[in-house]
Amino acid sequence: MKKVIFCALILLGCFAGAARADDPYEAGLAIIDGEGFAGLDRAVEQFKVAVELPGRARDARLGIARARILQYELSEQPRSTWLDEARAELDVLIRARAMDAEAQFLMSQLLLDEQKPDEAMTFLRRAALAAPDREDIAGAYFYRLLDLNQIEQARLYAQRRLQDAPSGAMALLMAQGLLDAGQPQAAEELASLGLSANPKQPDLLAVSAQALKAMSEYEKAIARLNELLRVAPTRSEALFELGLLYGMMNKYDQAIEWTRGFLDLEPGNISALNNLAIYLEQRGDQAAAAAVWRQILELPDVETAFRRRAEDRLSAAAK
Amino acid sequence: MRKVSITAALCMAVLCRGAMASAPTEALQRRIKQIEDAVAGVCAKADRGQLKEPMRVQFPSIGEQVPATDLRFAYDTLDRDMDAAVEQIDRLEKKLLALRKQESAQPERPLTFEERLRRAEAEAPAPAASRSAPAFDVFQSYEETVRDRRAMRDAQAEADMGRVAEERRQAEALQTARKEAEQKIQEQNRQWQEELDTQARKHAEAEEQWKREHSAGAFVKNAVRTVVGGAVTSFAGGFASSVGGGLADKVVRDNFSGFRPRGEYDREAHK
Repeated sequence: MKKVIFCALILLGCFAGAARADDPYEAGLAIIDGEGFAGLDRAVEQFKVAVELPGRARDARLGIARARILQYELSEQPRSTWLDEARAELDVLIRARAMDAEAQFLMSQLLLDEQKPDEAMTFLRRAALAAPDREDIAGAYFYRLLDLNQIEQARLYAQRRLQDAPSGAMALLMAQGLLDAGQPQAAEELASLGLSANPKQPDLLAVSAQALKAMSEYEKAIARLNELLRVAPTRSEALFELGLLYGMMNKYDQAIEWTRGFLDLEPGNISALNNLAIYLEQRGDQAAAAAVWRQILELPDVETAFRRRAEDRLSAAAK
Repeated sequence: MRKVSITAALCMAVLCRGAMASAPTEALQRRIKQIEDAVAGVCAKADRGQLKEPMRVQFPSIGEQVPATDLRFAYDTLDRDMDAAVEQIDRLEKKLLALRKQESAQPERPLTFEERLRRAEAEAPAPAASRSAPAFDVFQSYEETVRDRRAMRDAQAEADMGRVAEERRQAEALQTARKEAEQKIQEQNRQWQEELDTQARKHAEAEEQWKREHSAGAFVKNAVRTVVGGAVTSFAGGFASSVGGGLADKVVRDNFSGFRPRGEYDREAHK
């Protein structure tokens, strides 16, 4: 009996393997896996065969569209016919299913390639509405809003997106975007939302600390960085930032201690040496500061600004 | 004791005003989310082929700021129905942004004595005449009427000119903003391109180095390998295979990993 079952399983496996080998859609994907960019034309040929197969038409059409868009974006001599071909496939899909998120998303990429940002935004927005669980689409929509300088809309969208289900990755992406757009308070709100569900996410802690620093909330930023060091002791930038924050608060003993800690991990870091020398000067430790300025001048390929400052401070100390 | 209770009452009043001020914005934000969730639900239904009958989505009004919502979704008109939903969201979002702007522009503060007086005066009913109107000169009245009419016409013309100038200024500002947005996009594209170039250069250098060190026949491959100036990729023809594992290949493979079944895709997105 066991033998019969075993043989049946082997036969089933053979049939499944044969079916997979005969599937032109899978064959197209395999070509891309193997050949990458160079295989796109051959993959498209396979996808075109797959369009005729029941149950494969949508995937195959999306495959053709994506391949052609990538060819257009990555080729040295992009052909507009590639985009035409992609559009034809996407039109079919959108006509069949008005809210096909994947097709809408690709259409928005295509329209951006054609320098039609307003139309692209319409499709991107529909895609984001149709598939709220797709983080790539939500992220693209959010960053598009930021690109178009619609910062308040981006902020509202991010808040809605994260309110119910704060995903760490999305919170990080959106908080970083708002921080880069000069909105530290909004960035901190989102980072806090993300941290409420993912309290030990090191990148979120780091972004939150940056936002708090930008808001001049130094004590809170220090607390975040200490938390970051607890969950990720190898994040050396936290030591640097702690030195910087204590320096900004004129607490030079702590600033020197943290900056030296950072230099133990990254000796010769010019920014840290520069900061250390300044903190030592501020504390009144002129001899130690001079030693660090000299250390800066001995480094190879020092940027002019750092070199000039070190020379100025040393000559001022000599007078 | 009395002082304490007055202070407490004032604090409560300020807190209540703050809460009342933020309530409409929160309600608007909640309503937008409700519509977005409803749209997502309709799309999921349509995807599963369950949107056979037209579906109505209704939400009641909340106070004065949030109007009632009544949307209809049918399979045949889904495209237009979605546009209507998006328009509704846009309207609510505009209202929300305006309210938030208003809130941030007018921080709550107690009124000064003079402001309280002015407000009381404005809110007071118009005084009723206590006696009949005095007699007036009809010619003097005519002259005054003509003068007023002229003044009104001049003021109207000036206002029209001002409005035209304002419209022109707004159009110019819009045009400038659009140009800036386009420039920003172009700049980002350029930066992205530069990043690609840098990565490709580094990749090519590293690969060359490795091949110089490890491959005896490397010089033959180096002769055909190419990193194209603008888009870092290989030509679609015979040269492509010589940039094995290049950046363009990685981009292509990464993009197509999204075409795998959803479970696998979601796992990648959450990493």
